Amino acid sequence: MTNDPSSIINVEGVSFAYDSTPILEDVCLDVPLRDFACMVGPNGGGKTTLLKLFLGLLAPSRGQVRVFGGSPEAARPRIGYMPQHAQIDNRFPVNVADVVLMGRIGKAQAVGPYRRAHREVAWQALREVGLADLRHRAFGDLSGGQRQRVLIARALAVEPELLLLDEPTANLDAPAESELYELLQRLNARLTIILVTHDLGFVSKFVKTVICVKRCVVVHPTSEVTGEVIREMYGGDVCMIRHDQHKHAGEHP
Amino acid sequence: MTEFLDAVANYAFVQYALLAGVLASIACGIVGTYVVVRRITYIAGGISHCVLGGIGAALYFQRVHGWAWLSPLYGAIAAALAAAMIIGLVSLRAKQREDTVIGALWAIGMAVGVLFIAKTPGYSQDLMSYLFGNILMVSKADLWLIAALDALVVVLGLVFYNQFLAVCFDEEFARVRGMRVEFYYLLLLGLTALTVVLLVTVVGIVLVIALLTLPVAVAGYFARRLWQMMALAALFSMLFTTAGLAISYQPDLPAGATVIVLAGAVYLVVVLGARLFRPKCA
Repeated sequence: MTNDPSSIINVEGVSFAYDSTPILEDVCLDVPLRDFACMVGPNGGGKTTLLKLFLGLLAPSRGQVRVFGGSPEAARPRIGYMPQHAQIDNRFPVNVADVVLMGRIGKAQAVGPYRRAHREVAWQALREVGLADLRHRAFGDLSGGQRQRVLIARALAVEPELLLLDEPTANLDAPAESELYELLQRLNARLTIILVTHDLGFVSKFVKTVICVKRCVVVHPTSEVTGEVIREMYGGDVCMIRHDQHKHAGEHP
Repeated sequence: MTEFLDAVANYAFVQYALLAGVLASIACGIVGTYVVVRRITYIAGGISHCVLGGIGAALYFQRVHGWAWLSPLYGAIAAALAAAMIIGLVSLRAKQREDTVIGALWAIGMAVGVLFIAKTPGYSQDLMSYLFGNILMVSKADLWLIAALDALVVVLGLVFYNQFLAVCFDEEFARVRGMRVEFYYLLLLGLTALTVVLLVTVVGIVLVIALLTLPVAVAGYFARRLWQMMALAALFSMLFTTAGLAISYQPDLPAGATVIVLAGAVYLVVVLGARLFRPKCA
């Protein structure tokens, strides 16, 4: 695959293994500007690994990942990242403002309280996710959906061009989930978005591209995602009713 | 209690003890909070037990080889910092062996200390006071060193507040934001080592962990933000050390143990109180 100048992520022949267990093999992928891509696939299929390769948190054992035409490390100031929810301790003594301001850490001055300009960026991000009123609330007192939105606001406070979200819909009920997707759709007007999910049900309604990750990577425009594609992916009929997804996702080796 | 107040008014060694407790409490509140939220209590435990090796070696060389300048406190600082860096590098490089290395270092540090003290004439009696503390033995020279260490720990702990908060809350996000996460982790372990040394002068090696974490645990029930937790933890720590000293003075109880039992009792009351008044949490 050659470098497409309009693509902002360019993955060429990338393989990755944890110790000797191969996770990804010979992956080629281009993500165009303003894409709204969803990475789906079974647990352990390599979705999060691929996301971490985009961020330079992991290095490929073979091949090359380029983001904005350079190394992932060099691209980090332009990337907003939301890690998996389980990674964060909900009882940590912080309020909403503290969390969102962390998005400014690489750009603000080294020492002392965040200056006004940085706080303004953070509050704007909070307004964008609709939580401006909750600035002083304890992070641990929020609902699951509110916490996810605070973490998205933190990623937006970076003023990114690319937004990477790992399982943003985990632990959300259906209304909170559609609210989240509507928010992401609005953000997609100015940002390229890639999110990881194993929630197939909502994918087709909102996203432009589906990236299927199961050791190797297959990219589909959303319109092409049919029952056939999904069967191949998960190795069996996956019921598209959301209640059943965990059972099916868990069965696959 | 009046006897204690008389002693405070009349005896320098009681004043030094009180001051040492208050100074150590400030560092304890700040660094203890980082240790608790970053969940590295076990590492702090390993560091504190290695301190005995440093104290033993310093006593040995002071007594047997006549290095008069080598105060046990210097030995403690060197051992604590060395242990912190070893544990830190091991936990960064070889994550799966971290607890084994900490456990081994924990015991080796103590064993080295015991060997040195056994071979140091006239000092075997002091082993108990290093293990369980003897705050009333703090000298004026010690107090200056304690104040200097305290200032260093407090300044570094507060100057890098935003960085430590980001790294403790979500290390991966901090790394993506371009922070040198490993540097701040090692710095935090270094500050933990110095704080442990400060607290060893108050309650002794074995009891340090309780004084590092119990005030923070109590503060956690009231604080909503990290700096509030630090301020409250420092206040609780001052309360425990001062009240512990006062309670232990007249009946001649060991001060360190009294401080810890008091802290534990207050923690228990707060935990039970929170259960009674806020039954909503499962």
